[in-house]
Amino acid sequence: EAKVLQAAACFPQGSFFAKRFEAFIDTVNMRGKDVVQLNYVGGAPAIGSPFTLVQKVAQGVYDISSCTGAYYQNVVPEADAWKLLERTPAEIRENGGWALMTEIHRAQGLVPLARFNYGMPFQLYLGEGHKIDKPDLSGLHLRVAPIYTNFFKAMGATTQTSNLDQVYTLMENGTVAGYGWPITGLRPGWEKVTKYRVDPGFYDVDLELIANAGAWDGLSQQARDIIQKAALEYEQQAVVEDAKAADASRAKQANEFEIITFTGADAEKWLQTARDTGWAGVEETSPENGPKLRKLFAKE
Amino acid sequence: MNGFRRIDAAVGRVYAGVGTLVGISIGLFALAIAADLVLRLLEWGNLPGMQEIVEYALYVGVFLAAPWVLRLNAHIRVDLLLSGLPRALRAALERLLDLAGIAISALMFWYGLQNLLAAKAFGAVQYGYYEVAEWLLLTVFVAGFVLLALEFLFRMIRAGEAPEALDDAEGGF
Amino acid sequence: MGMIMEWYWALVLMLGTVVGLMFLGLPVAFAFFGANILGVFLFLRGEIGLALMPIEYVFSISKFTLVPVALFILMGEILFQTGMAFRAIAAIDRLISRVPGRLSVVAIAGGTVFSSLSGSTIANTAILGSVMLPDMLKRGYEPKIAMGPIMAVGGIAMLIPPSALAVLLASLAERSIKDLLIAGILPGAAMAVLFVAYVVLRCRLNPRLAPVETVAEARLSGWDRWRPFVIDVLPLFTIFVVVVGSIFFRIAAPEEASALGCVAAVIVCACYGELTWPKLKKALTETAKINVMILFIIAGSLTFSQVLQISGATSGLLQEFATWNMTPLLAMLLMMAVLLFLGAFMDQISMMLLTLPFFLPMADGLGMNTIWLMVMMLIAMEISLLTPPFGLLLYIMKGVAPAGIRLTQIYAAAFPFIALELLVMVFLILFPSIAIWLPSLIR
Ligand code: NA
Ligand code: NA
Repeated sequence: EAKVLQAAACFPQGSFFAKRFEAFIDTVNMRGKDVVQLNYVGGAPAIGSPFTLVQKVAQGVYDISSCTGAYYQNVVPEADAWKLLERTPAEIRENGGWALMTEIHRAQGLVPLARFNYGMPFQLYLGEGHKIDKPDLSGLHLRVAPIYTNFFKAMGATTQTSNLDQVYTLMENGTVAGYGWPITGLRPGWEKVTKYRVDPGFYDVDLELIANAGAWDGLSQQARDIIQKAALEYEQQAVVEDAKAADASRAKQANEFEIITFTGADAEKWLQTARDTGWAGVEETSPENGPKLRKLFAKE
Repeated sequence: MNGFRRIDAAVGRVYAGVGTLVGISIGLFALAIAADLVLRLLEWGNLPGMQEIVEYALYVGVFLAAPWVLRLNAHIRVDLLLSGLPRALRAALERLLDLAGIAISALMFWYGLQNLLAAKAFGAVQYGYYEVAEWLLLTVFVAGFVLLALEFLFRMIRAGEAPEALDDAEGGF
Repeated sequence: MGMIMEWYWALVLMLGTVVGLMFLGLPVAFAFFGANILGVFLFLRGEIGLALMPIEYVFSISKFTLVPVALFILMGEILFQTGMAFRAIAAIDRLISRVPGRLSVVAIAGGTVFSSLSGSTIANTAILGSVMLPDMLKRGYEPKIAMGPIMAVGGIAMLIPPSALAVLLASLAERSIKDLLIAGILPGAAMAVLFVAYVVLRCRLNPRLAPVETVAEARLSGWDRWRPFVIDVLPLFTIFVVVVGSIFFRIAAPEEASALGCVAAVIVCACYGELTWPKLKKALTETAKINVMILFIIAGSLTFSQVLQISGATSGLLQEFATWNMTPLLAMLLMMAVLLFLGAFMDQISMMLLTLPFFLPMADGLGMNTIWLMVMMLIAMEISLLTPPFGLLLYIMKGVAPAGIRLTQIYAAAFPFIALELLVMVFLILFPSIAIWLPSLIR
């Protein structure tokens, strides 16, 4: 009799950011036939708020999940640092970064098993009439996720949050001048309300595979091996595939949007401000681990 | 019963006050959102954090005013079966429903409390424009369902009679 | 261990619990709460899941997108409580004369005008029900020809902008709110025309339904007839212009437009000298009451659809449909059948939330026009306001009707109008351009 684990995603079932997790589930279920099976209940928000999902994993409602750090920093404040990773997952597994994150997660009853995205930056997208020519966002009102709120504010923008469903409307009405989003995975329709993309991209889209520590430790060694092996395969695949996907998206967007590219000192200012504000946020909620993580995660 | 009547009426007055406050909060939403828009159109900035305050106020208003709405008998219900029953049977079913209401509210209160304690233990915080502790949000949920359970209990004691009119002060002198 | 059962059993169990509790007479929100407790216990590992459910309720209604619901209701309540709505109806009353079933026609005309000023079907029905119904009954109108048009025209409020529900639907679907609001105008107007035609025809064939008014309306000359309309009705359209115009010309988001609408309503009422604090306070508290009533159900049903998803019922049903290989026409018919079925016992927002995740991918896959689909959805939701056992407007009508009117009479009154709305639906299926022509003009 195979051990059955409950699996859930922070993103809608079948959506771009749930797909790799779903493929991973299929792989585990195929290889783990009589050992371990993952029962996929779906993704947020259909199954509940994305912000509560990892908390549910920690409490044992679900056993394993795929989530982005921003959605569960209410449980693990340091999860915010996942987006600031500038080294490959393999590198932080070498340099002790992964081990430190594991220690931090375990204190809340969680274990990070793998990183399912790497090499896919966030971008600033702007609507008609909001062209900029230097790294200065003053006068722009932007729709943000908490991931880059501080960065855009530091660049002079005013910000507002909204649920994803509203982005199109906000842009259509001109309520916001632009929004932040990864280089890929824009919702259908957004291209109609977007005119510019600002380069370079910043931060890194992160999706982690997170398990309940008790459920993980309670599995047989064989079951853990099956899951961990599959997870690492998808992590390595992510490094290759995400770079390709990002390039493909850049090629597509080149026809859709006008690309505003900062170079030299402008690019440097843009990226360094992103980095500094990002780490400042982590250090604020975690003065002890923040600086340690920065040393292991950042490349500066 | 006189004592109950007096308490019932007092509770009713408090609820009416809550209802008015929630109504006023909705009026303030309109003013704040309109002001935010005007500021933006004039390019004078905006009211930062206004949206989040409105969102949380919306939630707080609904859960705190729900007992008031129950007292007004204004929660939507399907009275198809009830209206078809003979009087005695109908009264019995009504009291049974009050009991079900107490049970459901009590469970919601209990699990709300569990969630509150867990959120507190975890230090779960919503990071938006404001940092809001989740346990703080849940106190409203918990309080709301305590009051709802009480209100269902009051309904049961009143046994179908309308709540005491608010102006019972006239009765004495 | 979360329980794993066949999706159809999960579906039957969850829907059965909600519908069962509703039928017993438990307030709808509590029926959802009860079913949610059971569902979370069964499918989310019992106590552990239950102890993490409450925060979902918090997130389910602390949403900015839900603000227009309250504010569109407030607009209607302000016009209602200050008496502006009565003046408007009186003005329309004076315009219309010598028609069989005159007051029913006045109700439809007044309701349609008010639809363009209020986003709330509830306020619409409550106003007409409390203003016109007593008068109609007193003058010997049959209850069914008196109540039917009032309820039916109440539903038009959600097709003709401003509409809280259209805004919700389009923003949840991430399609153009502007297009959907505009797309609702023609079908809404068509419906009003159809209602009038029906009332006139019925009353001509059966004069007992609506007695001919013996007190001959003094033959008013042109200007005397039109004056109240020009003075009491036309200025109200500034409110419509503020709300719809600000959305249309991209000045305001729907939340902002609804806020502007409230401010405009207050200003207009103040200009007529009708605004007093007691009236405004009454409008605010009534809005609070209706808003709490609606959002409490939304909280319950949002969590309910999450439990349905977790139980596997939702994806099971969707996969089942996917195996049917449907044509767009068949898919549309199926979607409407599902909505009408759900609409019998569910509120509009729950229906929307439950079906959109299935309908949108289905429609996109089949290359259907989604504005057309959403207008159809709005009409299906409008019909569901009138279908027993759970039809919101039926209950509102019961609430405002004089004592002695039975629920079964109200059902009977609604029936022909349900048929007329279904007719409009058929027209829209045959001629989608009724919905998509207007929005296509403004591109
Ligand atoms: Na309307
Ligand atoms: Na119905």
